Amino acid sequence: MDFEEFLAVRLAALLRFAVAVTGDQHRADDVVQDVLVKAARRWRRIQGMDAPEAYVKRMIVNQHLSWRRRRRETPVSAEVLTALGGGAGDPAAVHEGMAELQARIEGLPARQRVALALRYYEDLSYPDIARFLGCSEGTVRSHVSRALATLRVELVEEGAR
Amino acid sequence: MTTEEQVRRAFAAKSEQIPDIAGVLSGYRRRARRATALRRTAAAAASVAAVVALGAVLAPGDGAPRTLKSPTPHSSVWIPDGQVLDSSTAASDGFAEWTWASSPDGSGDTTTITMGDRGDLPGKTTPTDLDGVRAGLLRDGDTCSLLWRAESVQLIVEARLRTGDPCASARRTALSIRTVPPAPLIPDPLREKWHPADALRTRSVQLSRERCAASVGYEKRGGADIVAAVLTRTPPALSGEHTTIQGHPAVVSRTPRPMIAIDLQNGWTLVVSGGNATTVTRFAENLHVASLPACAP
Repeated sequence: MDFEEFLAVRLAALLRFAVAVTGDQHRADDVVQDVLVKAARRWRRIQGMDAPEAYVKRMIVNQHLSWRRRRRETPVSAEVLTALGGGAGDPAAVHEGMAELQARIEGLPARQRVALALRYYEDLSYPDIARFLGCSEGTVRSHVSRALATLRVELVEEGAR
Repeated sequence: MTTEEQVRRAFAAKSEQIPDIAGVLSGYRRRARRATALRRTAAAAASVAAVVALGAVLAPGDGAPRTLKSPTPHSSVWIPDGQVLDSSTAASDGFAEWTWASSPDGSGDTTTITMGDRGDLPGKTTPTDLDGVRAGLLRDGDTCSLLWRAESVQLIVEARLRTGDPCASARRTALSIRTVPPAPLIPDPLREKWHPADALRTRSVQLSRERCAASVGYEKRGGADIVAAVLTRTPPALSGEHTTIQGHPAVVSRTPRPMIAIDLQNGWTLVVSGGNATTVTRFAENLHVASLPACAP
């Protein structure tokens, strides 16, 4: 499969994955475009791998994390997002509290959010996530656990109000 | 509903948004084109920068290769680390092509070669009387070429070996030099008289060699000045987008200037644009592009 064929078949999935990882449609577009430029140059090598798509997804994660490091971006709090109307897309989603939760997920530290996306969007096991991110399984579990704890606390606080 | 389940649903809802595939594809292709153009420009600049020269001299006009006193064409010279290889005087235009090869046990070594006049060494690495960069970091197998116009300039080659090997002081490197005979592949399309009416005239040449060096030389004739001589190249994949070869975007000169050597790839088009002062009758009689054979391994 040449690179163009790969794009035709898998680009939509890559974009959805990038949205899950970055939490932002426009940022996902940017990250994917940058990754595709790099992947196209190395496609001959990537193509020969066991799982080319997994490799490209890893490139997306790395690109996103690297971009975050360079930008030193401060996450916007859920309150600010709510006040600005950000994150509130589909009215049905707002109704179900999805937008608030999505905003909170976006506010998590980048590595925690990536681990969460790989666990609950990609449905990867902890060992697979560890291999994907190039870290230990314990680190992954820690990221996911802390992320869930943060969200749980926020959801409880939200419910108490 | 557990937090995990809510998170799973949140991700699913977020990713249900229809991605802008066409927009992303368009953006990717635009970035890829830009990256390719930048990479090629950088490669061309690097090939000009990593230039080493000394040795063979071609006298303009007669076509017969002449050599400086040392080294001789087709010879390999062993250069101990830090030693000045040679000092010679170039009396006229010259062209030399170099292939750098480290000693058999020196794989991975890099060497800085400096060429300059006597006043430039040691210490400074940028010669004053020559146009362009004359110091370059070379790796095993690199081939460089340089065309120069120098009168009464002492040319010096100095090698400095950089290696992580503690035995580096005992290591030698070989500089293989060969003269390239004047063998223009392009049938002289640019060697012609230009008149005032031809100001800012552009000529282009399609190069067909897999790899070749090209030079553009220009000088005034009959009191004319070149007001601009721009050498650009058009990669085959980017029709209509010209890349100016770095370092030589435009020239205003009353005196003959050194020629330049560049590396070109198959299918690229050389575009030379020139204009002259309005009152002169002709100029750039020897504005020319000369293709030279591909470097020997």
